[in-house]
Amino acid sequence: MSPKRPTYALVDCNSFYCSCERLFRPELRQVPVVVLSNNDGCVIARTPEAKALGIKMGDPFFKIRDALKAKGVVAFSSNYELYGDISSRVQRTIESLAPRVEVYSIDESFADLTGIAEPLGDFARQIQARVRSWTGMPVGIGIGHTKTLAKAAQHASKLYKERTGGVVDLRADHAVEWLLKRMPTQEVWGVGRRISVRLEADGVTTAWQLANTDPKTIRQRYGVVLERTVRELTGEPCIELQEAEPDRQAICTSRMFGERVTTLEAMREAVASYMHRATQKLRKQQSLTAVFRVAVLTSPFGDGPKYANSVMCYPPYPTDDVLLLTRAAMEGLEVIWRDGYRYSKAEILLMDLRKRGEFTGDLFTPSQPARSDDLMRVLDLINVKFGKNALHSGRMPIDATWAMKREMMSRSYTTSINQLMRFKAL
Amino acid sequence: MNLISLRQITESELPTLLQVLSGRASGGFPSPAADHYEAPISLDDLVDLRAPHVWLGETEGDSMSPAGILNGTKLVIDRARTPQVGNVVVAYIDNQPVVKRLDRQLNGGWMLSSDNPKYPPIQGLEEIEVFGVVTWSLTLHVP
Repeated sequence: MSPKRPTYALVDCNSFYCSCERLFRPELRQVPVVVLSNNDGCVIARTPEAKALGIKMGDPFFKIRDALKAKGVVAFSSNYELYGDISSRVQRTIESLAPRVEVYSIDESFADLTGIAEPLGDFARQIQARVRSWTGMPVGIGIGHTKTLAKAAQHASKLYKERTGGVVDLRADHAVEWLLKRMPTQEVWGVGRRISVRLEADGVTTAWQLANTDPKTIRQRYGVVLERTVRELTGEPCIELQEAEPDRQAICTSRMFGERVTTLEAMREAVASYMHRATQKLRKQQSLTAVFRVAVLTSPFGDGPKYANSVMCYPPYPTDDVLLLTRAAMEGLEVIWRDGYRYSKAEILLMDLRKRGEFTGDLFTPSQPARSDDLMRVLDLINVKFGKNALHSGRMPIDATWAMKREMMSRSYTTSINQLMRFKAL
Repeated sequence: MNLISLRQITESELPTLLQVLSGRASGGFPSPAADHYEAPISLDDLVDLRAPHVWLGETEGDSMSPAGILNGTKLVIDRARTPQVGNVVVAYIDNQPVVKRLDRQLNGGWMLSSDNPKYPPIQGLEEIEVFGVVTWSLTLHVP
C-alpha cells in the first residue's frame, strides 16, 4: 500500500444537540432527552435512551407531549446559539490535531489523515479523547480511503459502539467487505430513500452489491452522482475535501410563525424581519441580489382555507440595501396578500447573487449609490457591536407576536455574558 | 504592460479605491510610531478566552472569598489542564455545579475544600467529576 494513499476520517458528535444540553445539566445524563425543531414543532434529536422508548425523529411534539412527560423524557427547544458555539469548539479542537478539516455539518467534520503517522487508530482515539476533554462532546470516528468509506466506518462505529469504542478503521479490504455486506444501501452516504427503493427493484440491497455493480451502468441508469458513490465504495476517491464553504448561490430565510398571522400589518413585520436577516447574510458574503422572491403560505395541514403565493421582485439595480429591498418586498407583498387566511409561513429568497466587483454593468446601468454602501456598512458595524437586531428598518417590530416559540429553551451558557453557567460556592 | 481588464469604475467602488490611492500618495513626514505598532492589548488573549477548551462561568456564594472569588465573580475555566492538588476547580458534586479547591484527604482520597473556614470540606467522595480548572477570575469592584 502506498503511504500517500488518501485517507479520511469522519468525526461525528453523538446525538449532538442532546449532548450539548446535557453538558450543562449533569443530572440529565441518564435521562432520555429530545430536542425539538423551530417552534417546538417536532423531534429533531434524541438520545439513545429516548430512541429506546420508541420516540422517532419527526414525531410532532403536540402529539407526544403527554407521553414524553409520562415516560420522564426531558424536551428542549432548539438553542442554536449554544449548538453553534459548541460545534465551533469541536471543529477547532479537531483542527488542533489534524492539518486539513472540512466542516460537513453542525455535528460532522471530515479530516484529511493522508500521510499522518501510523497507527491511525490511535491517532483517531487521540482526537476522540481531546474533543471529549476540551468540549465535553462524545464523538465517533470512522477512517477510510474515501469520504464515503469514512462515513460508512463512522456508521459502524455507532452501530458497534461497545466493541469499537467509537473508532472504526475501515482501510483493510476484508473489513470493507465485512461491513458493506451488512449495510443496506440506504445507509450509504449519498444514497437517498428513493434511490435505494429503485436499487432494490434492480436487485441491489446491500452496499457491497452496490460497490460491485458496474459504474458505467450505474451512470446510465442513475446518473453521475451515484456513479461517484460506487467508485468511492470501491476505494477510489472521487469527492475531495472542501475546506472553505463555497459562497451561496441563493439565500433563503423562512420560518414557520409561532402563531398564525392574519393581518397584513403583522405579515409586513414578518417579511421585513426576514429581509433584515437575509440581507445580513448577503452582505456577509459580500454579494448583491438582482432578483428576489417573497412568498406567503398557509399551513398545508388542518381544515382552514389554503393559500400559497409568491412574487418575484426586481430592484432597480443589484443591491444589498435592506431599506430598498424591504420597500420592494412590501410592494410585492401587496400583490400576493389575500385577506381571510391564517398564514403559517413567509419566505424571502434572494437570487441572482453577484459578488461585489465581479460583475460589470454597461455604462447606462445604474448601480447602488455609495451612500447606501456607507449606510449598510454602519448598520452592520452597529449590529456587530450591539447585537444583530439592534438597528433595523422601521418595518421590523421589536417584539413580534408571531415570533418563534421556544418555550423550553436552555440558557445561552456560552454566548451570553448574562446567562453563564453558575457554580456554587456554598 | 499586461492589461487584464478595462472598465468603468462603479460609483460604489469609488470610495475604497480613492482611500487606497490617497493612502499611497501621502507625502508628509512618516509617523515615527508606525514602526512600533502593536495590536491593542486584549484581556481575551491574556486569559486565552477564544481557545476551544476555555469556558466562562459565574460564582454563586462566598465560600471561596479568600481566593478573591466572590459572589458574582466571573470564572475563566480551562478544560485542557489536568487538575492538580491545590487547583481551584469547578466540578459536579451530586450533579450540582460547584467551585472549590481540589485537595487530598489524609487517607489519600480526594476532597473539595473551601478557602473560607466557615464552610466544611466535602469529603468521602468516591470520585470527583472536574469540569475544568479555574485559571482566572474577574470581579467587578464598583457596585
